[in-house]
Amino acid sequence: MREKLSFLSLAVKEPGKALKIARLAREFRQLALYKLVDVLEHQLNRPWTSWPDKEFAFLLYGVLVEEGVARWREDGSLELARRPEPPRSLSPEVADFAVVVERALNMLPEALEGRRRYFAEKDLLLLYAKFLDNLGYNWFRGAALGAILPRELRTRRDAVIVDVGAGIGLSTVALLELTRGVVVAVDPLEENLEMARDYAAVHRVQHRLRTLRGYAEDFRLDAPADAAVLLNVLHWCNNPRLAVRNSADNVRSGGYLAIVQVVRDERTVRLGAALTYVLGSRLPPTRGELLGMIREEGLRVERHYASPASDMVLARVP
Amino acid sequence: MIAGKVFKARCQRCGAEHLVEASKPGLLLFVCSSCGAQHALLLDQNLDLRDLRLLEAVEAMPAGVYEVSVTDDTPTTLRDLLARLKSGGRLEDLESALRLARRLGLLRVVG
Repeated sequence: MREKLSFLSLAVKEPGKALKIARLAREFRQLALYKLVDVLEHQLNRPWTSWPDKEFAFLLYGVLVEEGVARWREDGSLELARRPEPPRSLSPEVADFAVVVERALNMLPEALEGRRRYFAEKDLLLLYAKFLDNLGYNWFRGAALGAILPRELRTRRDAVIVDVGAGIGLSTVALLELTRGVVVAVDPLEENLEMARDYAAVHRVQHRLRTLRGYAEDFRLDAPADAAVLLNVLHWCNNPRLAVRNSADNVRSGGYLAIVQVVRDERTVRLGAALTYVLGSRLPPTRGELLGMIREEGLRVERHYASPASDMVLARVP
Repeated sequence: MIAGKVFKARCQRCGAEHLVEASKPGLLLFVCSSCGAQHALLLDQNLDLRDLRLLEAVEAMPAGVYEVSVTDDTPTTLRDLLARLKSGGRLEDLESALRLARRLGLLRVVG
């Protein structure tokens, strides 16, 4: 099962696609790192403990050290080791998103001061939505869900799977393409659900889609589902623990809860996590917190794969 | 390919007649300047009008003629579908595709 998730196996099967994904990821990192240093350069002499949002400051400082652009000083401040190269050429997908990176990271000092403003400009959110529909993330969504969802669930026509925190429907479409049953997309915003319906319609799978307005923490299905899927949702929830509990409550006994979640133990996701934090998310949980909140709800973890992009957990509802 | 062609399009809602200029075959979105109704226009290779259909508007749009813009930054899950739409291939759920294109900023004014 693990080989499905291996980037190497993609590289062997579809080298062109793998190369493009690798290039997109590299360009995104370069762009974000360059902007991060540009914004924080004159503030690095402050120890991380002096920022009101200490947790975020520690994460950011850690990113700069891990990427080799700064060194720790004894007092917890940083010394710039090298200035990252400005990104020279950007593929259109990343270039388009550069506006979002630029505006979001400009708000970093305010976020560090504990005055985080939610990122609510509609045009930028749309750019973000467009960026989420990128080659790499689309490949990963399909690969991760394919690896984690049991085969019998994917092949059953009468299965009902809830996509909790569906957003604009990219995870919903991935689920619809991977399964044969009904997928219920749950999201608090009607506008997102409309987009999810449209995405499903252009992929010709709308007949298996239902939508329900609600938060992960409080949605309620008419009848329990066979599985609930949370694909990188927990860090967007006000109360991740409650989101896990409520999702499990909407699944029948013996059903599944599948969680694909970035965890901040993985170095590769921290830069992206800093960006989404400024856009309004929480910091991703650690691996221990993620597994803890699943087990504390009395769920039995049946599969757990850790990958540099996200952790994947399949738990059984008692 | 013909350089450009002007033809009359009658709004299916208010009946106003407009002169529309098109230079590419395929699917275009036409917004009536009198009532704002949105229509899908399908042009063949000779730029003759094959179909004119009233669409259910989601959001108001400035009057004019729009085409779906498929570039490298088009979301990957939609690229093939929108390319098919742009070239005139009919998607069953035309309105959904155009709504998505509109929301994601993929409609480009051409006239």
